[in-house]
Amino acid sequence: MKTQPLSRRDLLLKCAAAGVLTSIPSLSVAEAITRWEAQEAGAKKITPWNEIGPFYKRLAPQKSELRAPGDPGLPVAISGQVFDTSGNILVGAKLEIWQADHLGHYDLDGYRYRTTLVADSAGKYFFDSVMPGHYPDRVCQHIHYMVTAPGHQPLITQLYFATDPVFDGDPDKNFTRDPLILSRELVRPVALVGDPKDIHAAVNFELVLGRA
Amino acid sequence: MLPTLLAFALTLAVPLASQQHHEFLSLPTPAPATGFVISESGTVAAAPCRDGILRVWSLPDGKLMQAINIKDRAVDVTAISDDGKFVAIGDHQGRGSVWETSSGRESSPSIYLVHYPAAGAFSHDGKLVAFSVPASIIRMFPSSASSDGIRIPDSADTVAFAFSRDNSRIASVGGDTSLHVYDVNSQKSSSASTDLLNEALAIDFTADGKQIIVAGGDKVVYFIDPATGKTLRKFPKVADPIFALSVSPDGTLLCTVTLHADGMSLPAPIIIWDVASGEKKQEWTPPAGALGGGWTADGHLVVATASKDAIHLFRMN
Repeated sequence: MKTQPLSRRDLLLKCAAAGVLTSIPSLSVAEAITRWEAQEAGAKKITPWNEIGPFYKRLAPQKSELRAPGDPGLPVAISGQVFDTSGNILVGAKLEIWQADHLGHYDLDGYRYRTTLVADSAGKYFFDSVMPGHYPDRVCQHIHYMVTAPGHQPLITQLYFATDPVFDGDPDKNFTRDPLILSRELVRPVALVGDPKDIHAAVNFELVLGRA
Repeated sequence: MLPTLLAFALTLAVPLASQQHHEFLSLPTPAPATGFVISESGTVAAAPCRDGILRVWSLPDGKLMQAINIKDRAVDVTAISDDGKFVAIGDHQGRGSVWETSSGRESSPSIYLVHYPAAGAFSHDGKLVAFSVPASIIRMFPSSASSDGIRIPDSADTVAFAFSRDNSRIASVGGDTSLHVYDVNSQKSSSASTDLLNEALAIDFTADGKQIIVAGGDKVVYFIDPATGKTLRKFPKVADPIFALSVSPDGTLLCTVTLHADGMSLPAPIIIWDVASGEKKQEWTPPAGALGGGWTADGHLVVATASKDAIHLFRMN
Protein backbone atom coordinates (compact mmCIF):
# COMPACT_ATOMS: atom_id res chain seq x y z
CA MET A 1 0.00 0.00 0.00
CA LYS A 2 1.40 3.37 -0.95
CA THR A 3 1.76 5.64 2.10
CA GLN A 4 1.13 9.36 1.95
CA PRO A 5 4.23 11.51 2.55
CA LEU A 6 4.22 13.24 5.90
CA SER A 7 3.54 16.96 6.04
CA ARG A 8 6.36 19.05 7.40
CA ARG A 9 4.51 19.56 10.66
CA ASP A 10 3.74 15.87 11.08
CA LEU A 11 7.34 15.01 10.35
CA LEU A 12 8.54 17.37 13.04
CA LEU A 13 6.00 15.98 15.51
CA LYS A 14 7.20 12.49 14.72
CA CYS A 15 10.79 13.59 15.33
CA ALA A 16 9.75 15.02 18.66
CA ALA A 17 8.04 11.78 19.61
CA ALA A 18 11.18 9.87 18.72
CA GLY A 19 13.22 12.16 20.90
CA VAL A 20 15.38 13.50 18.09
CA LEU A 21 13.78 16.93 18.27
CA THR A 22 13.51 18.69 21.59
CA SER A 23 12.47 22.15 22.64
CA ILE A 24 13.48 24.58 25.37
CA PRO A 25 11.55 24.07 28.63
CA SER A 26 9.54 27.28 28.30
CA LEU A 27 8.22 26.33 24.89
CA SER A 28 5.98 23.40 24.08
CA VAL A 29 6.98 21.23 21.14
CA ALA A 30 3.87 22.29 19.24
CA GLU A 31 4.63 25.95 19.85
CA ALA A 32 8.27 25.50 18.86
CA ILE A 33 7.22 23.82 15.63
CA THR A 34 4.81 26.66 14.90
CA ARG A 35 7.62 29.16 15.34
CA TRP A 36 9.94 26.99 13.24
CA GLU A 37 7.43 26.98 10.38
CA ALA A 38 7.01 30.74 10.64
CA GLN A 39 10.77 31.19 10.37
CA GLU A 40 10.97 28.98 7.29
CA ALA A 41 8.06 30.82 5.67
CA GLY A 42 9.86 34.13 6.10
CA ALA A 43 13.23 32.76 5.06
CA LYS A 44 14.82 34.20 1.97
CA LYS A 45 17.55 32.91 -0.29
CA ILE A 46 20.75 34.87 -0.56
CA THR A 47 20.79 36.92 -3.75
CA PRO A 48 23.05 35.12 -6.23
CA TRP A 49 26.59 36.36 -6.60
CA ASN A 50 27.76 37.88 -9.86
CA GLU A 51 31.25 39.11 -10.50
CA ILE A 52 32.33 42.57 -9.48
CA GLY A 53 33.92 43.92 -12.61
CA PRO A 54 34.48 45.92 -14.34
CA PHE A 55 35.22 49.28 -12.97
CA TYR A 56 34.09 49.42 -9.41
CA LYS A 57 35.17 52.77 -7.96
CA ARG A 58 35.42 53.64 -4.28
CA LEU A 59 33.88 56.63 -2.54
CA ALA A 60 30.97 57.24 -4.86
CA PRO A 61 28.90 60.14 -3.49
CA GLN A 62 25.47 59.51 -2.03
CA LYS A 63 22.83 60.58 -4.53
CA SER A 64 19.63 59.08 -5.79
CA GLU A 65 19.53 61.05 -9.02
CA LEU A 66 22.12 59.45 -11.26
CA ARG A 67 20.44 60.79 -14.39
CA ALA A 68 21.14 64.44 -15.12
CA PRO A 69 18.53 66.50 -17.00
CA GLY A 70 18.93 65.90 -20.69
CA ASP A 71 20.92 62.69 -20.32
CA PRO A 72 20.24 60.45 -23.32
CA GLY A 73 18.92 56.97 -22.77
CA LEU A 74 15.71 55.46 -21.43
CA PRO A 75 15.09 56.74 -17.90
CA VAL A 76 14.84 53.93 -15.38
CA ALA A 77 13.83 54.00 -11.72
CA ILE A 78 15.33 51.21 -9.63
CA SER A 79 14.06 50.39 -6.17
CA GLY A 80 14.14 47.55 -3.70
CA GLN A 81 14.61 46.39 -0.16
CA VAL A 82 17.52 44.77 1.62
CA PHE A 83 16.90 41.70 3.80
CA ASP A 84 18.74 39.04 5.67
CA THR A 85 18.00 35.36 5.13
CA SER A 86 15.46 35.35 7.96
CA GLY A 87 13.43 37.94 6.16
CA ASN A 88 14.43 40.80 8.48
CA ILE A 89 15.03 44.14 6.80
CA LEU A 90 18.59 45.46 7.01
CA VAL A 91 18.25 49.10 7.94
CA GLY A 92 21.41 51.03 7.14
CA ALA A 93 22.82 48.52 4.67
CA LYS A 94 25.28 50.25 2.34
CA LEU A 95 24.75 49.86 -1.39
CA GLU A 96 27.51 50.83 -3.82
CA ILE A 97 26.01 50.90 -7.30
CA TRP A 98 27.62 51.61 -10.64
CA GLN A 99 26.81 51.25 -14.32
CA ALA A 100 27.76 52.30 -17.84
CA ASP A 101 26.01 55.15 -19.62
CA HIS A 102 23.58 54.59 -22.48
CA LEU A 103 26.52 53.99 -24.83
CA GLY A 104 28.16 51.40 -22.60
CA HIS A 105 30.94 53.64 -21.25
CA TYR A 106 31.97 53.75 -17.60
CA ASP A 107 33.13 56.99 -16.03
CA LEU A 108 36.54 56.22 -14.57
CA ASP A 109 37.62 59.80 -14.08
CA GLY A 110 34.51 61.01 -12.24
CA TYR A 111 31.40 59.55 -10.64
CA ARG A 112 28.76 59.67 -13.36
CA TYR A 113 26.30 56.83 -12.89
CA ARG A 114 27.84 55.84 -9.59
CA THR A 115 26.35 56.15 -6.16
CA THR A 116 26.54 54.99 -2.58
CA LEU A 117 23.12 54.56 -0.98
CA VAL A 118 22.00 53.62 2.51
CA ALA A 119 18.91 51.51 3.04
CA ASP A 120 16.32 53.54 4.95
CA SER A 121 14.29 52.66 8.03
CA ALA A 122 12.25 50.22 5.98
CA GLY A 123 15.36 48.71 4.43
CA LYS A 124 14.46 50.36 1.13
CA TYR A 125 16.58 52.07 -1.48
CA PHE A 126 15.82 53.97 -4.67
CA PHE A 127 17.70 55.65 -7.50
CA ASP A 128 16.91 57.20 -10.84
CA SER A 129 19.17 56.43 -13.79
CA VAL A 130 19.19 55.50 -17.47
CA MET A 131 19.14 52.06 -18.99
CA PRO A 132 22.80 51.12 -19.38
CA GLY A 133 24.03 50.50 -22.89
CA HIS A 134 25.64 47.40 -24.32
CA TYR A 135 29.39 47.25 -24.74
CA PRO A 136 31.45 44.72 -26.69
CA ASP A 137 32.95 42.84 -23.78
CA ARG A 138 29.60 42.00 -22.14
CA VAL A 139 26.57 40.52 -23.76
CA CYS A 140 23.80 42.04 -21.64
CA GLN A 141 22.87 45.38 -20.13
CA HIS A 142 23.55 45.36 -16.39
CA ILE A 143 23.97 47.41 -13.23
CA HIS A 144 26.55 46.46 -10.59
CA TYR A 145 25.91 46.24 -6.86
CA MET A 146 28.15 45.77 -3.84
CA VAL A 147 26.06 45.60 -0.67
CA THR A 148 27.45 45.47 2.86
CA ALA A 149 25.88 45.38 6.31
CA PRO A 150 27.44 44.69 9.71
CA GLY A 151 27.31 41.02 10.65
CA HIS A 152 26.64 39.94 7.10
CA GLN A 153 28.67 38.70 4.17
CA PRO A 154 29.20 41.30 1.46
CA LEU A 155 27.01 40.76 -1.57
CA ILE A 156 28.45 41.39 -5.01
CA THR A 157 25.95 41.00 -7.78
CA GLN A 158 24.48 42.48 -10.95
CA LEU A 159 21.00 43.41 -12.09
CA TYR A 160 19.89 42.46 -15.61
CA PHE A 161 16.78 43.47 -17.52
CA ALA A 162 14.21 41.11 -18.96
CA THR A 163 13.66 43.57 -21.82
CA ASP A 164 17.24 43.21 -23.03
CA PRO A 165 17.06 42.43 -26.76
CA VAL A 166 19.60 39.68 -26.22
CA PHE A 167 16.91 37.57 -24.56
CA ASP A 168 14.57 37.77 -27.55
CA GLY A 169 11.64 38.26 -25.19
CA ASP A 170 12.29 34.96 -23.37
CA PRO A 171 14.75 35.44 -20.51
CA ASP A 172 13.78 32.11 -18.98
CA LYS A 173 15.17 30.34 -22.01
CA ASN A 174 17.84 32.77 -23.14
CA PHE A 175 19.44 34.27 -20.03
CA THR A 176 22.46 32.02 -20.55
CA ARG A 177 23.30 33.85 -23.75
CA ASP A 178 25.40 35.97 -21.44
CA PRO A 179 27.89 33.48 -19.96
CA LEU A 180 28.30 35.64 -16.89
CA ILE A 181 24.66 35.37 -15.85
CA LEU A 182 24.60 32.36 -13.58
CA SER A 183 21.12 32.80 -12.18
CA ARG A 184 17.78 33.69 -13.76
CA GLU A 185 16.86 35.48 -10.52
CA LEU A 186 19.12 38.38 -11.47
CA VAL A 187 17.10 39.15 -14.60
CA ARG A 188 14.31 41.40 -13.44
CA PRO A 189 11.04 42.36 -15.13
CA VAL A 190 10.74 45.91 -16.41
CA ALA A 191 7.60 48.01 -16.15
CA LEU A 192 7.06 50.94 -18.47
CA VAL A 193 5.30 53.72 -16.63
CA GLY A 194 4.45 57.37 -16.94
CA ASP A 195 3.02 59.61 -19.57
CA PRO A 196 3.37 58.20 -23.09
CA LYS A 197 5.29 61.34 -24.00
CA ASP A 198 7.59 60.90 -21.03
CA ILE A 199 7.82 57.20 -20.57
CA HIS A 200 10.28 55.61 -18.26
CA ALA A 201 11.12 52.17 -16.94
CA ALA A 202 10.78 50.88 -13.40
CA VAL A 203 12.53 47.87 -11.94
CA ASN A 204 12.37 46.30 -8.50
CA PHE A 205 15.46 44.48 -7.24
CA GLU A 206 15.32 42.93 -3.78
CA LEU A 207 18.63 42.02 -2.17
CA VAL A 208 19.25 39.34 0.46
CA LEU A 209 22.50 39.08 2.40
CA GLY A 210 23.81 36.04 4.22
CA ARG A 211 25.09 36.13 7.77
CA ALA A 212 28.84 36.45 8.28
CA MET B 1 55.00 36.55 -18.44
CA LEU B 2 51.57 38.03 -18.91
CA PRO B 3 48.62 35.73 -18.74
CA THR B 4 46.62 38.16 -20.85
CA LEU B 5 47.44 40.95 -23.23
CA LEU B 6 50.87 42.38 -23.47
CA ALA B 7 53.03 43.76 -26.22
CA PHE B 8 56.09 45.93 -26.54
CA ALA B 9 58.38 47.04 -29.22
CA LEU B 10 60.99 49.69 -29.56
CA THR B 11 64.66 49.62 -28.76
CA LEU B 12 65.92 52.19 -26.34
CA ALA B 13 68.15 53.81 -28.93
CA VAL B 14 65.48 54.56 -31.51
CA PRO B 15 63.11 57.49 -31.13
CA LEU B 16 59.52 56.49 -30.50
CA ALA B 17 58.16 57.99 -33.67
CA SER B 18 60.38 55.98 -35.97
CA GLN B 19 59.90 52.55 -34.42
CA GLN B 20 58.87 49.70 -36.67
CA HIS B 21 57.44 46.50 -35.31
CA HIS B 22 57.56 43.57 -37.61
CA GLU B 23 55.81 40.28 -37.44
CA PHE B 24 58.50 37.63 -36.99
CA LEU B 25 56.37 34.51 -37.01
CA SER B 26 52.91 33.44 -38.04
CA LEU B 27 51.30 30.36 -36.43
CA PRO B 28 48.48 28.87 -38.54
CA THR B 29 45.23 28.14 -36.72
CA PRO B 30 42.26 26.55 -38.51
CA ALA B 31 39.99 28.50 -36.16
CA PRO B 32 40.57 31.82 -34.40
CA ALA B 33 42.59 31.71 -31.21
CA THR B 34 40.97 33.02 -28.04
CA GLY B 35 44.13 33.45 -25.97
CA PHE B 36 47.91 33.19 -26.23
CA VAL B 37 50.73 32.48 -23.81
CA ILE B 38 54.48 32.19 -24.30
CA SER B 39 56.97 30.65 -21.90
CA GLU B 40 59.63 32.85 -20.41
CA SER B 41 62.18 30.48 -21.92
CA GLY B 42 60.87 31.64 -25.30
CA THR B 43 60.72 28.05 -26.49
CA VAL B 44 57.03 27.16 -26.19
CA ALA B 45 53.77 28.95 -26.96
CA ALA B 46 50.16 27.85 -26.60
CA ALA B 47 46.73 29.05 -27.61
CA PRO B 48 43.19 27.76 -27.12
CA CYS B 49 41.23 28.00 -30.39
CA ARG B 50 37.54 28.13 -31.24
CA ASP B 51 37.63 24.67 -32.82
CA GLY B 52 38.09 23.18 -29.33
CA ILE B 53 41.81 22.54 -29.71
CA LEU B 54 44.55 23.79 -27.43
CA ARG B 55 47.54 24.19 -29.72
CA VAL B 56 51.13 24.10 -28.50
CA TRP B 57 54.07 25.19 -30.67
CA SER B 58 57.81 25.11 -30.26
CA LEU B 59 59.60 28.38 -30.83
CA PRO B 60 61.28 29.90 -32.66
CA ASP B 61 60.59 27.37 -35.42
CA GLY B 62 56.79 27.52 -34.99
CA LYS B 63 56.41 23.77 -35.24
CA LEU B 64 53.12 22.43 -33.89
CA MET B 65 53.95 20.18 -30.94
CA GLN B 66 50.51 19.32 -29.62
CA ALA B 67 46.86 19.65 -30.59
CA ILE B 68 45.06 18.93 -27.31
CA ASN B 69 41.35 18.25 -27.47
CA ILE B 70 39.45 20.64 -25.18
CA LYS B 71 36.08 20.46 -26.92
CA ASP B 72 33.07 21.77 -24.99
CA ARG B 73 35.34 23.72 -22.69
CA ALA B 74 34.99 27.49 -22.77
CA VAL B 75 38.46 28.63 -21.74
CA ASP B 76 38.62 31.62 -19.41
CA VAL B 77 42.32 31.57 -18.56
CA THR B 78 45.44 30.03 -20.07
CA ALA B 79 48.84 29.81 -18.37
CA ILE B 80 52.26 28.37 -19.22
CA SER B 81 55.21 27.57 -16.98
CA ASP B 82 58.34 29.67 -17.35
CA ASP B 83 60.26 26.71 -18.77
CA GLY B 84 57.45 25.77 -21.16
CA LYS B 85 57.05 22.27 -19.73
CA PHE B 86 53.43 22.70 -18.62
CA VAL B 87 50.37 24.49 -19.98
CA ALA B 88 47.15 24.97 -18.04
CA ILE B 89 43.62 26.18 -18.64
CA GLY B 90 40.75 27.18 -16.40
CA ASP B 91 37.35 26.99 -18.03
CA HIS B 92 33.93 28.56 -17.57
CA GLN B 93 32.53 25.38 -16.10
CA GLY B 94 34.99 25.75 -13.23
CA ARG B 95 37.56 23.10 -14.19
CA GLY B 96 41.31 23.47 -14.09
CA SER B 97 43.59 21.22 -16.14
CA VAL B 98 47.34 20.92 -16.71
CA TRP B 99 49.17 19.15 -19.54
CA GLU B 100 52.81 18.33 -20.27
CA THR B 101 53.74 20.14 -23.46
CA SER B 102 56.26 17.50 -24.51
CA SER B 103 53.77 14.62 -24.48
CA GLY B 104 50.34 16.25 -24.57
CA ARG B 105 49.31 14.15 -21.54
CA GLU B 106 47.44 15.58 -18.57
CA SER B 107 50.00 15.81 -15.81
CA SER B 108 47.35 15.38 -13.13
CA PRO B 109 43.57 14.91 -13.04
CA SER B 110 41.50 18.02 -13.70
CA ILE B 111 40.21 19.70 -10.59
CA TYR B 112 36.99 21.47 -9.75
CA LEU B 113 37.67 25.13 -9.10
CA VAL B 114 34.28 25.84 -7.47
CA HIS B 115 33.80 28.70 -9.89
CA TYR B 116 35.12 29.91 -13.22
CA PRO B 117 38.50 31.61 -12.70
CA ALA B 118 39.35 35.25 -13.22
CA ALA B 119 43.09 34.63 -13.61
CA GLY B 120 45.65 31.83 -13.67
CA ALA B 121 49.43 31.62 -13.47
CA PHE B 122 52.29 29.22 -12.78
CA SER B 123 54.79 29.84 -10.02
CA HIS B 124 58.15 30.79 -11.47
CA ASP B 125 59.65 27.44 -10.49
CA GLY B 126 56.85 25.63 -12.32
CA LYS B 127 55.91 23.55 -9.29
CA LEU B 128 52.36 24.75 -9.11
CA VAL B 129 49.69 26.58 -11.07
CA ALA B 130 47.09 28.72 -9.38
CA PHE B 131 43.67 29.98 -10.39
CA SER B 132 41.74 32.78 -8.72
CA VAL B 133 38.04 32.31 -7.97
CA PRO B 134 35.86 34.49 -5.73
CA ALA B 135 37.61 34.96 -2.39
CA SER B 136 40.03 32.09 -3.00
CA ILE B 137 43.07 30.98 -4.91
CA ILE B 138 43.11 27.32 -5.90
CA ARG B 139 46.51 25.73 -6.36
CA MET B 140 47.31 22.66 -8.40
CA PHE B 141 50.58 20.79 -8.05
CA PRO B 142 51.12 19.01 -11.36
CA SER B 143 53.97 16.80 -10.24
CA SER B 144 52.16 15.44 -7.22
CA ALA B 145 48.63 15.46 -8.65
CA SER B 146 47.31 17.32 -5.62
CA SER B 147 45.57 20.63 -5.05
CA ASP B 148 44.51 22.94 -2.27
CA GLY B 149 42.86 26.29 -1.75
CA ILE B 150 43.96 29.50 -0.10
CA ARG B 151 41.04 31.49 1.18
CA ILE B 152 41.48 35.23 0.85
CA PRO B 153 39.70 36.90 3.75
CA ASP B 154 37.64 40.02 3.09
CA SER B 155 38.27 39.92 -0.62
CA ALA B 156 35.67 41.24 -2.99
CA ASP B 157 36.56 38.97 -5.89
CA THR B 158 40.17 38.35 -6.81
CA VAL B 159 40.72 40.03 -10.14
CA ALA B 160 44.43 39.38 -10.60
CA PHE B 161 47.33 37.79 -8.75
CA ALA B 162 51.06 37.22 -9.14
CA PHE B 163 53.85 35.09 -7.70
CA SER B 164 56.97 36.73 -6.36
CA ARG B 165 60.10 35.81 -8.30
CA ASP B 166 61.33 33.62 -5.47
CA ASN B 167 57.91 31.89 -5.28
CA SER B 168 57.58 32.66 -1.58
CA ARG B 169 54.51 34.86 -1.88
CA ILE B 170 51.33 35.34 -3.84
CA ALA B 171 49.88 38.84 -4.09
CA SER B 172 46.34 39.46 -5.27
CA VAL B 173 44.06 42.42 -5.77
CA GLY B 174 40.39 42.35 -5.02
CA GLY B 175 37.87 44.07 -7.24
CA ASP B 176 37.29 46.47 -4.34
CA THR B 177 40.92 47.70 -4.62
CA SER B 178 42.11 45.74 -1.57
CA LEU B 179 45.55 44.10 -1.61
CA HIS B 180 46.22 40.64 -0.20
CA VAL B 181 49.57 38.93 0.28
CA TYR B 182 49.93 35.24 1.11
CA ASP B 183 53.21 33.85 2.41
CA VAL B 184 53.68 30.32 1.12
CA ASN B 185 56.10 29.29 3.87
CA SER B 186 54.26 30.63 6.90
CA GLN B 187 50.85 30.20 5.28
CA LYS B 188 49.88 33.54 6.74
CA SER B 189 48.03 36.14 4.75
CA SER B 190 47.71 39.87 5.17
CA SER B 191 45.27 42.35 3.75
CA ALA B 192 45.57 46.07 3.23
CA SER B 193 43.67 48.92 1.71
CA THR B 194 45.34 50.68 -1.18
CA ASP B 195 45.09 54.22 -2.53
CA LEU B 196 43.46 53.05 -5.72
CA LEU B 197 40.05 54.52 -6.43
CA ASN B 198 39.08 52.41 -9.41
CA GLU B 199 39.17 48.63 -9.60
CA ALA B 200 42.66 47.19 -9.97
CA LEU B 201 43.05 44.90 -12.95
CA ALA B 202 46.71 43.87 -12.96
CA ILE B 203 49.46 43.08 -10.49
CA ASP B 204 53.07 41.96 -10.34
CA PHE B 205 56.01 41.99 -7.94
CA THR B 206 59.17 43.95 -8.56
CA ALA B 207 62.09 41.64 -9.30
CA ASP B 208 63.41 41.94 -5.73
CA GLY B 209 59.95 41.25 -4.32
CA LYS B 210 60.03 44.30 -2.10
CA GLN B 211 57.27 46.17 -3.86
CA ILE B 212 54.02 45.24 -5.53
CA ILE B 213 52.98 46.93 -8.75
CA VAL B 214 49.27 47.44 -9.33
CA ALA B 215 47.27 49.19 -12.04
CA GLY B 216 43.74 49.36 -13.39
CA GLY B 217 40.93 51.81 -13.90
CA ASP B 218 42.86 54.69 -12.36
CA LYS B 219 45.10 54.57 -15.46
CA VAL B 220 48.10 54.87 -13.16
CA VAL B 221 50.83 52.37 -12.22
CA TYR B 222 51.24 52.21 -8.45
CA PHE B 223 54.23 50.80 -6.59
CA ILE B 224 52.96 49.63 -3.23
CA ASP B 225 54.42 48.53 0.09
CA PRO B 226 53.20 44.94 0.52
CA ALA B 227 52.94 45.25 4.29
CA THR B 228 50.86 48.41 4.49
CA GLY B 229 49.27 48.83 1.06
CA LYS B 230 50.64 52.36 0.95
CA THR B 231 51.74 53.91 -2.31
CA LEU B 232 55.50 54.34 -2.57
CA ARG B 233 55.45 55.97 -5.99
CA LYS B 234 53.35 56.25 -9.15
CA PHE B 235 53.97 56.50 -12.86
CA PRO B 236 52.32 59.28 -14.88
CA LYS B 237 48.68 58.74 -15.76
CA VAL B 238 47.96 57.28 -19.19
CA ALA B 239 44.92 57.77 -21.38
CA ASP B 240 43.23 54.41 -20.88
CA PRO B 241 42.68 51.80 -18.17
CA ILE B 242 45.56 49.39 -17.68
CA PHE B 243 44.41 45.81 -17.65
CA ALA B 244 47.66 43.87 -17.80
CA LEU B 245 51.21 44.49 -16.67
CA SER B 246 54.41 42.53 -16.29
CA VAL B 247 57.94 43.11 -15.08
CA SER B 248 60.76 41.93 -17.34
CA PRO B 249 62.79 38.99 -16.04
CA ASP B 250 65.74 41.24 -15.20
CA GLY B 251 63.42 43.63 -13.40
CA THR B 252 64.46 46.74 -15.30
CA LEU B 253 61.43 47.18 -17.52
CA LEU B 254 57.69 47.16 -16.99
CA CYS B 255 55.15 46.61 -19.70
CA THR B 256 51.55 47.82 -19.42
CA VAL B 257 48.69 46.99 -21.73
CA THR B 258 45.80 49.40 -21.95
CA LEU B 259 42.17 48.79 -22.69
CA HIS B 260 40.35 50.54 -25.52
CA ALA B 261 37.29 52.38 -24.27
CA ASP B 262 35.12 50.66 -26.86
CA GLY B 263 36.26 47.12 -26.23
CA MET B 264 39.23 45.04 -25.22
CA SER B 265 39.46 43.34 -28.58
CA LEU B 266 40.32 46.66 -30.25
CA PRO B 267 43.92 47.84 -30.63
CA ALA B 268 45.16 49.87 -27.70
CA PRO B 269 48.59 51.19 -26.72
CA ILE B 270 51.17 49.01 -25.05
CA ILE B 271 53.82 50.87 -23.10
CA ILE B 272 57.28 49.90 -21.89
CA TRP B 273 58.50 51.80 -18.87
CA ASP B 274 61.88 52.00 -17.25
CA VAL B 275 61.19 50.75 -13.73
CA ALA B 276 63.88 52.77 -12.00
CA SER B 277 63.18 56.14 -13.59
CA GLY B 278 59.49 55.80 -14.45
CA GLU B 279 60.24 57.04 -17.96
CA LYS B 280 58.16 55.87 -20.85
CA LYS B 281 60.56 54.04 -23.17
CA GLN B 282 58.18 52.88 -25.86
CA GLU B 283 54.57 53.12 -26.81
CA TRP B 284 53.07 51.06 -29.59
CA THR B 285 49.59 50.18 -30.76
CA PRO B 286 49.54 46.79 -32.52
CA PRO B 287 47.59 46.44 -35.77
CA ALA B 288 44.90 44.41 -34.04
CA GLY B 289 43.85 43.88 -30.45
CA ALA B 290 46.62 42.11 -28.57
CA LEU B 291 45.69 38.50 -27.84
CA GLY B 292 48.47 37.75 -25.39
CA GLY B 293 52.21 37.61 -25.06
CA GLY B 294 54.98 37.94 -22.55
CA TRP B 295 58.59 38.59 -21.75
CA THR B 296 61.23 36.10 -22.72
CA ALA B 297 64.34 35.48 -20.65
CA ASP B 298 66.53 37.29 -23.18
CA GLY B 299 64.63 40.50 -22.45
CA HIS B 300 62.38 40.61 -25.50
CA LEU B 301 58.70 41.26 -25.33
CA VAL B 302 56.55 39.17 -27.63
CA VAL B 303 53.06 40.30 -28.60
CA ALA B 304 50.47 38.18 -30.34
CA THR B 305 47.50 39.26 -32.40
CA ALA B 306 45.04 36.96 -34.09
CA SER B 307 43.30 36.79 -37.44
CA LYS B 308 40.75 34.13 -38.36
CA ASP B 309 43.39 31.68 -39.46
CA ALA B 310 46.65 32.59 -37.73
CA ILE B 311 48.37 34.03 -34.73
CA HIS B 312 50.82 36.80 -35.58
CA LEU B 313 53.84 37.30 -33.35
CA PHE B 314 55.66 40.60 -33.02
CA ARG B 315 58.82 41.19 -31.08
CA MET B 316 59.56 44.42 -29.38
CA ASN B 317 63.13 45.41 -28.57
